[in-house]
Amino acid sequence: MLFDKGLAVSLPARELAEATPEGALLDAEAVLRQRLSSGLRAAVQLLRDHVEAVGGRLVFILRSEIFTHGEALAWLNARLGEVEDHLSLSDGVVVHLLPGRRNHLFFYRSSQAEAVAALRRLAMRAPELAPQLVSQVNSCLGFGEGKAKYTPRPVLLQATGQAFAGMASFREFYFNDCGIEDSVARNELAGDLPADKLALYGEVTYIPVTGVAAADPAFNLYVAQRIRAVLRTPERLLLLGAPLAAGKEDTVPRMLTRLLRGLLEHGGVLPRAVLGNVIIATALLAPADLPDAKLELVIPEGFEFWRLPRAYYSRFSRISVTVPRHRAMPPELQAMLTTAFGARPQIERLDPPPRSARAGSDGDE
Amino acid sequence: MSKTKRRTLKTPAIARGAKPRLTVDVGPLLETFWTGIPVFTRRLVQALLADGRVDLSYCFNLTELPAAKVHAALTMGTGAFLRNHYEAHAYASYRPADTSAPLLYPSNKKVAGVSPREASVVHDISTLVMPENHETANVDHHMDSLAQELASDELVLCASEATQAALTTYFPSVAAKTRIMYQYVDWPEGFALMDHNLPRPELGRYAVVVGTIEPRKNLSILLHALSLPELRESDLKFVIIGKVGWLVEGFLEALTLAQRERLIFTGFVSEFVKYRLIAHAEFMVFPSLYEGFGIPALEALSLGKPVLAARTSSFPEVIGKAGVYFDPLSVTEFAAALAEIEAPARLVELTTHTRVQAAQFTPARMASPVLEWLVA
Repeated sequence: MLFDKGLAVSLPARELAEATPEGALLDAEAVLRQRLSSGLRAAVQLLRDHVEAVGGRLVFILRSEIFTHGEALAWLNARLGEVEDHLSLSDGVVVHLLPGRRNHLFFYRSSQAEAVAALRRLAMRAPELAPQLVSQVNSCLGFGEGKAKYTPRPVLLQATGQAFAGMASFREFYFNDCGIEDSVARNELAGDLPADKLALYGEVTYIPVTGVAAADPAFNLYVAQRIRAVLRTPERLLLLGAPLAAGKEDTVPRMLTRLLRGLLEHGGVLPRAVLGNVIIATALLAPADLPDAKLELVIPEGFEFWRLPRAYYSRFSRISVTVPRHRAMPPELQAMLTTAFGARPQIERLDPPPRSARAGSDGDE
Repeated sequence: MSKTKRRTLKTPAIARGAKPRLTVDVGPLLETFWTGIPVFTRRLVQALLADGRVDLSYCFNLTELPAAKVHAALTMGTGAFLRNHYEAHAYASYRPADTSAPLLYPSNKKVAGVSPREASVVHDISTLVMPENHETANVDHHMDSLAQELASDELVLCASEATQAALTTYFPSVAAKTRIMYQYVDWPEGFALMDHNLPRPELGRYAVVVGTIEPRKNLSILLHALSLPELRESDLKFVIIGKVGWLVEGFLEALTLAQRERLIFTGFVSEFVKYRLIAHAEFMVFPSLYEGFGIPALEALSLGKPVLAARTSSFPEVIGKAGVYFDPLSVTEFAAALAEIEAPARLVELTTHTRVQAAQFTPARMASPVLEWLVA
């Protein structure tokens, strides 16, 4: 069983800069008492639940980089005892290795564009790092290029229980020709839609947009096409999840800005009117939020699928994953997602936007 | 000195008097105020000059610097005049550096692969493993070309075993060409006499903390500890020597009145003032989260002062038995370690180890990996 010989977990220090722990070694509850981003909190809970379930010992390490060798490393080794595996919970900026142990990676911020960029940068700066990783939890990242490309073995750790309570509010989808700020301000003025509006539709397509996807022209074109498609099918609802930022704090206006900017820049022409059957969700939909309808889920690149249990995915009659047309989906990732979803996902091929759309929207900005 | 070195220095090439050539990039010496890397560079050059078995030349930006000017800067302890001369006379009288000779960079390289034989010094890899404690530009400066620099090096000198271990953890392919280059402390000869002729600083009982004020130095643990009941009533003060660095906005402003009464911030001080403040302290406190070497600790040992140090990276190897260690993230452990080192009997015991430990770090030891490289 994965990590049944115990697990030492390096924490991302950047997220814990304000933490006041009593020592470099912490248990899960001590970590969870700190102020954490939702992604890190979910990852810590997932590891806690998994290691508890397999009967292993779990130790979190803040600043594992200080245990380089000699007396400092001996001190740590004495406290870790028989723990054989070390996992770096990575925000993309740092990946820790612990000498003398099997090292694993858990990149918990795959939905954040800047985190993905940071991890790519790190892999280029330290090209010998990735080949030392025995496995990667919940990702299928390839490091390096050509013959030197290395993909640590992907392994799945998925939430099993009720992942979270409903946090989402719902907003109109609207923008105008007066710029993003004005569009978002009008949206703010209109306020939340009643949640029972979702119950009016017999078919719902849910696209939880990630930060990575929101920055991808091809994905924005795809979403814009889906928006244009529902204009002629008023009985169908398109529900767009607004992408969260990396920080611990985010606001609805910032999320709306992130979502609308990409669509404006790369999506082509869209109506400057409130679209009744396109709604924005301000957080990931909890199981209780899902309407009683025929549900389709479209999963964009970077979606943190591991935060949701398989039971959640079973509510959808169709699940698809977006993949750029020029890129094949790694079979390991397909297998991992099939296990996570309980069904093989469909592939939605993304075409790059035409040159004019890539150059800058329909003249709005 | 090790047997290896004795054997190496008796190679036929040396015996014939054919000195191996070496060009040192002394760019850090063009700084006006020398701390950190410039001081390391000065000590390295002086160690090689004292050894006398290498034909040294100097460069900066692949431009040969006149040896006389560099040696004058070493004497003066500042690079202001060297830099002025370089800026004023480079066009008329400077030549390109001789890149056919082995080239040594006392810090990271500006350009790799210029000489057929290159070496550089890695002081630490904190920009890789704790970039959140650095400004982005500094991280980019150190990390963007590190892999290329290491690949082009024939010899990678590491400032400590800690740096060697950390570097080879992330770059295992360079392990075989790494060597440790330990720094040493060299107070000017006159300092002891000058200090002897002056009265003791009127600071009461104090411990000294040396280093630029920045997040990696972990001064917050000291602040937190000062609010503990067992420390609140102590008369021990803490003299913090060093300029205000980066990413500490709000740190100094947030100090409470009680903390301000116990903490004395000197800012940047001259080498002599630093010498006096260390020499008259009870001990040194070095709470850093991470150090490549930690030269202030060695400075304290050289003046007979034990060190209360974080159990991290290079500290145990540099301080040895002359220190008390604590988990740098545990205020409780810090307070306990502080109580231990303050106890008179323990302080005396630790003091007996200080100069013995400091004596292990010498100019000859610093120069030895370079000499071994050049005659290989």
